[in-house]
Amino acid sequence: MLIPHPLLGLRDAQEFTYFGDASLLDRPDGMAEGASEQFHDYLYLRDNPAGEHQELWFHEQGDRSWLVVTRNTLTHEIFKVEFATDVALARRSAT
Amino acid sequence: MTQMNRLNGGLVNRDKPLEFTFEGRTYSGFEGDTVASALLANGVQLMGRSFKYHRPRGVLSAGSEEPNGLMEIGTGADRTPNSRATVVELYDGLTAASQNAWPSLERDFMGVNDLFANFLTAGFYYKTFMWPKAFWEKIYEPIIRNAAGLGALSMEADPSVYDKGFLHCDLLVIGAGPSGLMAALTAARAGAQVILADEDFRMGGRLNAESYEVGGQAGSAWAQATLLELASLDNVRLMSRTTVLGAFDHGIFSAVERVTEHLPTASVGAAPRQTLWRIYAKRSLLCAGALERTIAFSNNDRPGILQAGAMRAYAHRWAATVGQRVAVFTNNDDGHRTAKDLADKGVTVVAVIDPREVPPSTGVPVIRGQVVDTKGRLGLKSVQVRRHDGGMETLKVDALGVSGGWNPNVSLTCHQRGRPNWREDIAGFVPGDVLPVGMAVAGAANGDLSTHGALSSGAKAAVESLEALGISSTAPDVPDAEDAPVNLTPLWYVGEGKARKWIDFQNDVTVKDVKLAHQEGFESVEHLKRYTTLGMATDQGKNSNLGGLAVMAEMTGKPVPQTGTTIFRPPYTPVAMGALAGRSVGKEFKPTRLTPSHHWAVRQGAVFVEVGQWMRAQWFPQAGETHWRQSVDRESLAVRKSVGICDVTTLGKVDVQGKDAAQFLNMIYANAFAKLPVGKTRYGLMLREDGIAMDDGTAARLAEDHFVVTTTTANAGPVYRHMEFVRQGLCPDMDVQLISTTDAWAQYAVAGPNSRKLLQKIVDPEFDISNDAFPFMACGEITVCGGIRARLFRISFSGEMAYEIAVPTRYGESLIEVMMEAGKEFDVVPYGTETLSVLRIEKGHAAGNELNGQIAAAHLGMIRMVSTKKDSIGAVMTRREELVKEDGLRLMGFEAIGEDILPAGSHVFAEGDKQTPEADQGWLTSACYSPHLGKHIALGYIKGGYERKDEVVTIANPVQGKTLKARVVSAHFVDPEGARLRD
Amino acid sequence: MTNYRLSPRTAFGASEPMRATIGKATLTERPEFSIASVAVRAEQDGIAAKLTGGADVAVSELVQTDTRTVFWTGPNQWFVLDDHSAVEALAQTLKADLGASASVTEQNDGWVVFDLTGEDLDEVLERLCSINLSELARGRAQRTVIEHVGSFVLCLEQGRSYRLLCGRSFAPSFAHAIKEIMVSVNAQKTLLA
Repeated sequence: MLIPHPLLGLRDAQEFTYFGDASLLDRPDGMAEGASEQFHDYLYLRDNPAGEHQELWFHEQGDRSWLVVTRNTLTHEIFKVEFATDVALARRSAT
Repeated sequence: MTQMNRLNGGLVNRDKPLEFTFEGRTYSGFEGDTVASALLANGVQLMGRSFKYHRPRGVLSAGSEEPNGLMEIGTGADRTPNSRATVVELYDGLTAASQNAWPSLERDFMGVNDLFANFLTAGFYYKTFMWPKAFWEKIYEPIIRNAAGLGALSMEADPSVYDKGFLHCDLLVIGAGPSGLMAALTAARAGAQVILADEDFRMGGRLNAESYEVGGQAGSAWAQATLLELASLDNVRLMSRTTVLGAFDHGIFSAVERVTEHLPTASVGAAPRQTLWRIYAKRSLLCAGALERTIAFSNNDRPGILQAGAMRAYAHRWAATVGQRVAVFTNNDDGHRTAKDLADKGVTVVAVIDPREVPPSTGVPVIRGQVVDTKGRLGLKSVQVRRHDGGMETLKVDALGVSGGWNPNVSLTCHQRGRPNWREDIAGFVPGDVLPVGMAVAGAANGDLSTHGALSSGAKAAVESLEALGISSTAPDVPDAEDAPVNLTPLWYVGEGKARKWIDFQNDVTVKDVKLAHQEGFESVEHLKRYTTLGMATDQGKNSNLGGLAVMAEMTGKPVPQTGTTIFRPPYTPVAMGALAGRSVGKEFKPTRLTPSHHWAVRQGAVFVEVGQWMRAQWFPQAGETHWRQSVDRESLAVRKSVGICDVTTLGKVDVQGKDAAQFLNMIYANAFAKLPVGKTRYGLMLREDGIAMDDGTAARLAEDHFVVTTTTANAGPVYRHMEFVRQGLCPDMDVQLISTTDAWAQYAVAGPNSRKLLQKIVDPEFDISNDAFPFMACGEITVCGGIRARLFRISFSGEMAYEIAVPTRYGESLIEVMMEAGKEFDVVPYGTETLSVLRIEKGHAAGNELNGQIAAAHLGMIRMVSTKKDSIGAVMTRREELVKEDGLRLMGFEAIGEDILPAGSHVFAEGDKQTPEADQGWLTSACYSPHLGKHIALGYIKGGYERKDEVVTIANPVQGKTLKARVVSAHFVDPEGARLRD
Repeated sequence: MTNYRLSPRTAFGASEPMRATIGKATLTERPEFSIASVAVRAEQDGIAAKLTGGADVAVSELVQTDTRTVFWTGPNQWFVLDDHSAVEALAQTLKADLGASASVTEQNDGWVVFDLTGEDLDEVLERLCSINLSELARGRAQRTVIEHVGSFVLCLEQGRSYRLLCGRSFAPSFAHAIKEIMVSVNAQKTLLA
């Protein structure tokens, strides 16, 4: 696969390390009430869609950016690639 | 021997005669020949034996789809089995041999299989060798494997080198026939970056194999002129002898270039035999042509019977005829061309047999009818023809061309799960609606089977492909060329005749086998393939898949497209394992990382061990030491008694800086870091978010906003990745920056009661490292040896008073030399990873064996370290009930009762208990002989932990057949109060 | 007073830099650079221009000044090469200039610098890494993988002069891999010329 890096353009997926569902960015507050239930859901309840999916990829052999790649898991079509930092900040300001 | 079947003309170089051997006999050929064309020119039709029945076979084709003509090329370690004689380029001194035949090709002992054909039909081994069950593995399978088979490996290491590489282009054109050449020309003139790849050693495709003219000149001449123009352009890369093997996601292709395979091995030197390319193409254009299919009839597999189009290719390109008296059996007009062309070349063409009502007239006699049988065991002698009027004729011929029509070569269009579409007019599959991203198809591969159709569709497809890239181009004028329509009446097999009618020559699958599969319920295409082996092995059914499908369609009463299509997968043709391995062979498999003291350690005669990519000194044998234990015991005792030095550069080092650096460390470590003073180091436990220990190490605070984090050697990469994830994804508003700095500093552990005295001899005097000025866990930037910048950390893995000292790596080798010199008065020793391990086991420090992905903070006895006053990765989950329960696993020490070693990995049971999983009490993680204690000891986990101190337990190691006794003790075998650290 | 003195060694354990010429390509180890990495801290700007003394260093670019080579390594992060004999403690020097506006890390001996010079070097590089060499023009810098080793490739002159950096502990394997390909390319060219 080729991943369209927001700054560097198309880069071979071989340069990246895959991590998992981009919902891993939504880490619960460990100091909050009921944190253990929230962490249970955060860690163990994931969707595994056959289709559009947001995933975390690390550009290990590139600029060391964590990216959120929106990809069709059936066709490997990539719709969108964003910096994980930007996504995390946007989600934070949305809540 | 004379080349009795060599014709005039052709594209072979008669000024360059070549000698070669086949089956020990010497033949001559010319530069430009393949092994197959040269053998045919020499009148040799018999080239192999079939896979299962050992039927004598000749070549069926003139290309890479060849099912029969498989040979071993070369000798000794250079021998390459399963080489297709139709694509092996002839060179002087080439040695070819048949395979799957003994004692000789003519008198093959296993030909007896042919007599037992009734027992060897489809699915035979599922039925025949059912009983007794145990016989399968030991008796039946080895016999079958011996009898059936392809070529044999040389069993020697391949002496050739294989390269790999990466190419980028705007347009990749796959296939250099008329459509591919026209497409490449169109794109090249527009200035696009073009790669034109073709598996053949001579580009031009069918233009080299036909008599047609293109633009008023011979097709091959037009091809040459076009190639000359392409070669003159900088934006074009012509890659002959290059097979595109697979189409992968997003325009990535794999291709193998046979760089020097066409040369005698001895002449090749250091050049690669093949190069495996990864091609990144913004657009691709498949111009892979079409492959001719055969018609199944009784005994249609005799040497001398081949594709009509292949016969034509041998005559035109290689000036070789397959026989002196020839006939052609065809269901379409194209077969008649073979007859006419051969007749024009002076070959006696006895007849064209055509079952259709109105066959064309080319001047060659035509018989309306079908071939119903043939004769000639080692080579065709005659064919029997059932005329349309019911009469029977026997034609004395030594070669028969067969044409059942042409199949567009759609293979690569299917590599991304695309399914082809059926086209009734050519009775074949054409590329489907969904193609690999960026791919278009032109020419015969797309069903445009005329030369003019190929030329014009190639140009048009190139223009469209470039347009998608924003490159404007103009199609060149399409030269005049043959534009005959396809006239074809499908005929898949001849009904008459009792003998076997071969569909898949390579796997010996017949019409009857397909019918049997249907009878027994294996109707789906995928079942048909597995049950009959149709379409397997080196040709992957390029000739046979459609024939098999058509017979199945007839049986099920459904049309062919409803019956199914087979899926084509990479690679398009077989690939040498060597090409896939490239240079990653033996020790070249992965890079090796060397420590700063490596060359010094080599000079000391150290024994090395691979730790991940690192080479580390394992121990340093001294004169008289014959067993590793002698060296390790000596090194361990020397450290505890005086001082030793160990290279610990391999530990990962991550520089953490920024206003929020301390807050960030609070997040990644379970224990607290925010209040660590500048100039101090602290042990840190790093958890995964699920509460399991990920890694441990130390963090040293060099400034308010600057820490150096160390990781274990093995986890340096993953921990850095994790830290970046936390920084970028979880703490995006923190002001913190990370970078790895592992290789920048040569770092040594200097451990033992005399470590300070030793260091004081090299540290520059303005830096006071006395116990008061530089206590346990201190760190600081200093200089050594007259001004070399260094970092000093007072940390200990061994339990002794110890330091780690780091200098810029270029001084690392010199530093250990200097320290060894300075330490002479203290009898300093260098020590390796083995002693490092003994010392840390004695001290009860956890390492990789203890952090095995199942262990949480409580198991390590560190739950109280996990701060409840802050949020950190894993803190919540490591406090889960199951992970903190009182009677859960705890890290403890074990002392052997008796003289036997305690094997790590052994499981722990209460004395007298049965050794069952339910009764399991834990396991030993690390073990060693402790020279300090004079006994075998281990670290391990045991349920209940400290509560079971002094209990005698059973240590079970069923793998080694051992049951031992050990006493549970504190994990801290040495100095449990830590007094030595603080001296 | 300590009388002990340390002597520098190359990444190959030698006192002289590694150098190999095969065919028309030469690979040379360049230990005479000091190296530092610079990362911008929050809400800071214009750091690259301070490193070069004027010019910005954009994504995937490198800028050469009289003494320095500055190249982009990641968002808000650059590597700086300078003269080791003149500015050994480059990280300290930069830190003094930049203060709290940037994080500076010493990389003097974290990376080994090689120069690959000669003719038709694309033929060597295309067998080593997946970089699109036609787009790696003079002044471009890219991180990549060469025979499993993470590395930087800097183009000083397309086809004729490249600067390569790899982690120091990898240097012998890295140089070995490049030399093997130089041998292979040269043999192939000679044979098939």
